[in-house]
Amino acid sequence: MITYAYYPGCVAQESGKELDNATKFIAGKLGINLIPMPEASCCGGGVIDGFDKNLKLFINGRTLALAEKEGLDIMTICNTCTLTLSEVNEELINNPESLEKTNEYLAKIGLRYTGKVKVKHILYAVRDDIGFDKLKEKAVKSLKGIKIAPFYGCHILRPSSAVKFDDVENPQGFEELIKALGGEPVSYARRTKCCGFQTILVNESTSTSLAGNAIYEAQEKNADVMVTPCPLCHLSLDTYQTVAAKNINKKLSLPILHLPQLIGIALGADYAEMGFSRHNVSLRGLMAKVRQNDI
Amino acid sequence: MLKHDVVIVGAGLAGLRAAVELRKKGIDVVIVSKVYPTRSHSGAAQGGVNAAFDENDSWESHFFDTVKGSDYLGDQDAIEILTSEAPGNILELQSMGVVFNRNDKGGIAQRPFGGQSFPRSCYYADAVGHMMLHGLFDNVLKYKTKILYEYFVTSLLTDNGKVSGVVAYDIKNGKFEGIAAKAVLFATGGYGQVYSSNTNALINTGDGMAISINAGVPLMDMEFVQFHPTTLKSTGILVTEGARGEGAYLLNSLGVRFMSKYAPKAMELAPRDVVARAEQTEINEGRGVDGAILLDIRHLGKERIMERLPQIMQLSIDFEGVNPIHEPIPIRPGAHYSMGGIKTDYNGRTAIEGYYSAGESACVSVHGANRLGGNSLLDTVVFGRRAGIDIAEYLKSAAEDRKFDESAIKRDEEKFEQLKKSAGKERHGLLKSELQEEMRANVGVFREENAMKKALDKIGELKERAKNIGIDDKSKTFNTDIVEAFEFSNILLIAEVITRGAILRKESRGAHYRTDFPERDDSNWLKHTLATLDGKGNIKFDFSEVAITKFKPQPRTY
Amino acid sequence: MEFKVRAYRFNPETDEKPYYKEYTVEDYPGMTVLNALIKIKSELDGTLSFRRSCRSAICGSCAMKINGITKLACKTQVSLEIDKFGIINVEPLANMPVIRDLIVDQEVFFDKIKAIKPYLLGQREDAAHNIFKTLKEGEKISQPVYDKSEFKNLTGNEDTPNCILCECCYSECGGVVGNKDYLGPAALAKLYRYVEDPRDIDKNGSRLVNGSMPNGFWDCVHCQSCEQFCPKGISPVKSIVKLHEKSIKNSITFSSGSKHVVSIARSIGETGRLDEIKVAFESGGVTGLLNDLPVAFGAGLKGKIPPLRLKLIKDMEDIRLAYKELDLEDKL
Repeated sequence: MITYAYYPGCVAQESGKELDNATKFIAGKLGINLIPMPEASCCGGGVIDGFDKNLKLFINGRTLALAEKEGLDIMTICNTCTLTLSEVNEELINNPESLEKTNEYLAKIGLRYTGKVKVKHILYAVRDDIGFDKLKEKAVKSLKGIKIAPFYGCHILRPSSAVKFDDVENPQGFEELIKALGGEPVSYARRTKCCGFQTILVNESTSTSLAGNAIYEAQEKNADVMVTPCPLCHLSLDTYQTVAAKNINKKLSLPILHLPQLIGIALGADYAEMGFSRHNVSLRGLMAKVRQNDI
Repeated sequence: MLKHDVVIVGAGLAGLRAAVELRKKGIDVVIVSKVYPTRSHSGAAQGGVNAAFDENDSWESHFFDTVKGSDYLGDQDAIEILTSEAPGNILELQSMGVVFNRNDKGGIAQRPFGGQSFPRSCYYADAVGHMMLHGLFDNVLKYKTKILYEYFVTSLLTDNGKVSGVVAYDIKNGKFEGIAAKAVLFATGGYGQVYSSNTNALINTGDGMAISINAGVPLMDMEFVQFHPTTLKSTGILVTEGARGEGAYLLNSLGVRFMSKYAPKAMELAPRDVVARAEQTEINEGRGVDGAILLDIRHLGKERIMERLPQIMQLSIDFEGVNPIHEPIPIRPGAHYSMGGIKTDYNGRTAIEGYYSAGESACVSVHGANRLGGNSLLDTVVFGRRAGIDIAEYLKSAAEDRKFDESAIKRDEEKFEQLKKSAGKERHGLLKSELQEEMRANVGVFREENAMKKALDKIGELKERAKNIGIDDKSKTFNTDIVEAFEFSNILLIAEVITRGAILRKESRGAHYRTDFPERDDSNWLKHTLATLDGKGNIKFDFSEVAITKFKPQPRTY
Repeated sequence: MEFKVRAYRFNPETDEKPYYKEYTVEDYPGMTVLNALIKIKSELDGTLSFRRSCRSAICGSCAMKINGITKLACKTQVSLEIDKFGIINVEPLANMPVIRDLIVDQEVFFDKIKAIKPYLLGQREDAAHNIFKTLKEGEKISQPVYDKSEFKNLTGNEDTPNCILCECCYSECGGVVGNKDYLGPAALAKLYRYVEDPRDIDKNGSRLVNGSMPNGFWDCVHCQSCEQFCPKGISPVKSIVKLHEKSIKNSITFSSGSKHVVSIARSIGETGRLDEIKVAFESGGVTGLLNDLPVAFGAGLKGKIPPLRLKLIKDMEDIRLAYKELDLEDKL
């Protein structure tokens, strides 16, 4: 049994509730003990340093300190939370001045951080703590014959000075997971590119053209489904897919799964348990294909 | 056909500095460069730019150090200008946006450099050339200067004894363009590519010098080639003298700081000619490490290295696989700088009215037989600026009394077309490698008559074979194959001028060291050599006097 | 060891569309991708076209895509690429039109550099120091005095003045992929360099105002590629974020990008959470919300619209204290 302090981030607790549910489902199946962090705040959505650099340090230093107090590492399910917590962690570990300043604040709320916490995204927690072989053993449905386009997004890979899970030039973790589940990873250039989420409310055309073109490329490579480790990417890719299609003037219709949902399917979860009705692009076709694949 | 008052060829520091000076006055200038300005080789200068600022220093001391460094071949009237205008130039650059590291008093930080009796090299970490180049380029943009980039100049035109413009090849589309002008400034840089194992960019092929001698303008002191003592063993990439300025040691295979033998007082901070010869002697006598010497900066500590020499650290890791925080860097001497060049006066004027040169392509001469580190960047801005001012003055009185010979455009175009049609089997890239290797081996740090004559034979052979060069690329769009072929013909000509001058000069002075004439010979050779071409294209030499105003030649020891 | 170089080829005079050509090259220790290309050009195929100059990572000429990622060919070791990818695949930079082979048209990139006014504005009051002077015998010069700290963001070895304009960041930039008019990381890093320069006299904050316009620094998608792939270790995205911070601190908050950030900060300050609805409303104003109505409508039907009033996080007063400690309450 592996225990993590569980940091789902805001979106997975709000519009992306299905991700939180799927994560809890697979954690139960895989023996990952998730300790909730009711005191944890938003990480700042990847932009809070544009408001105030120290605020980013303080609120995320607080989250790290909360986990450290419990003697736990943090598991994340959102790329942007992963990067923000990792960046702050690196800064506090390597910059004594920042650590001191942050600890002055933390002292006032009865906390202290010493740099012991590790931040891990669920993709790499499954790889490192469970192992893909073990995952394969636990699977009850094979994803055989399903062409799956992994969409890494940005903040789980870049900058590699802060997030160090995979080879930033040629990451393979996602593909290995897909293969372990019997699926066929689709190789396409935009798998490590940006979904555009950060400007979705600022410059929708920039944003949706990035998401749209990634979907289109995967579709052209005959992907049955695209999977993302990040709920923000999911919003761009799924919720905004119709807008994106209009923007890039292409027909788009590619189901988008959260990573834990993909694992959930392999572990035998049903349509309702994975919250598929909450998606914009229908998953019925995909699920019909999977249904034939009982192990 | 284009027409501008001034054409500046070359967009490194000297060219950009002159352009800013002219544009400030609203003069109609076009900059023509075979690369985008920020790709110019000035940007690779690392260590520093000299100016006497400290209250315990003086420009007069800088003046003397430079004269002595030049082995008394530098013209003292010009060196006086160089050093007395140095502080003013640096402050002017600073006011234009160039950033220098600061000292504790709030002034510009300065580090020691070879052959300087005071720490007077201003720096920006180890990338001061980069900083100055981009700072000046930003000012060229500020003054909205017209730039024709990726244009390769093929001819300098004159009429009635005055400059009338240039012909240039537009690399992007293969078209030839005539640019008429009343004044032309060549700031075209050096010729490091004459040698294998050099610190220079691949673009440094002596084009401006070759075009000048072809146009009848003499090249001065071309036999003086600076070999930089510290270039990376495998690639020849520069390791700044600033490393030694910060306190680096030079070690031989026995772990000994061998400079104690060659320059007991100055040690590692002796001038470049002295250090390069010392290293080569150690290597030749079997005390090298795999044909190299070790540059050790470990004792400076990680923090100082990261602050003052970050580029050196990264270059050593990327290009030599050595992290200088933990290991000494293998280095050796490499061709670095051309003291010689297009003969000019201290306003950049050449033998042709309206035709100017500044920077490394020019020979004023402020560097004489050996340039001191930190004086080349200074040279570019001082004389780039002065040329700009003089051109502005010249334009006031320059009459429209010259015609641009448009047939020259056709002639150059024909030359290119002819070469494209050639069925020759020789590859210019390979001929270039042969030439570079020959020059390194036989006209290098140590020189001797028989070896140099061998080199001359090789040059003769290559000239014959060059008639048989074939070009793979027949197209007009970005044809770099044909540009490189012409660059090769330029370095071949320059190599011959260097070699003939070196054979002629039967003494050792500064960077020119003859094992068969190991002493300086002031009674016969305290003079400049001037190379020109006769009617048949043969190189001939004249001489001119050295301006000696303040400092009589003395023995040069460090 | 022999290895293969697969080069993107296109000559507009003869080729209808681009193709790839393979060359076999002999390796040597320390060989760089640029060395390999030069060897191909001089020995095998003179028609292969690419830019190059200094070969020591300071001029920025030889940026190109190597095995899919933008790098300087001169500082990329062949052996490392072969170990990882088994081949050297070279292609021209992205986000700019190809002129020929590995050469792109950089005009747009440099136009954007020019657009940010890359030079000092105004003059310091002690302009006397700027007047040129030739020293007479025995004469000294006095310098303007600047404290070290005034240049502290300009003199570090990973600070923006070290940018070599190689276009690696521009080629990898997600913002430019999505919007070709976006100024891009290099230009904005340069803007930051001048904003930080103590000699820049920008009295009315025109740099931050102009940079806040559409296609400016609020259009960054935060993909981190510019930092990741900068061959000089510079982080344009961090410069961009500092421009955001400076704008908000100076109350230059007319752009929807700044409204977006302030709104997130406000939401966290009030609830400890990111309130998606409120942030959407405040970032785009009413127009933005109308734009997103179809999306909201679709999402609503699927039950994706989050609750209108968020529950506060536990110990919310901790977060309020953070804002208070940093004097941020009046910025919300």
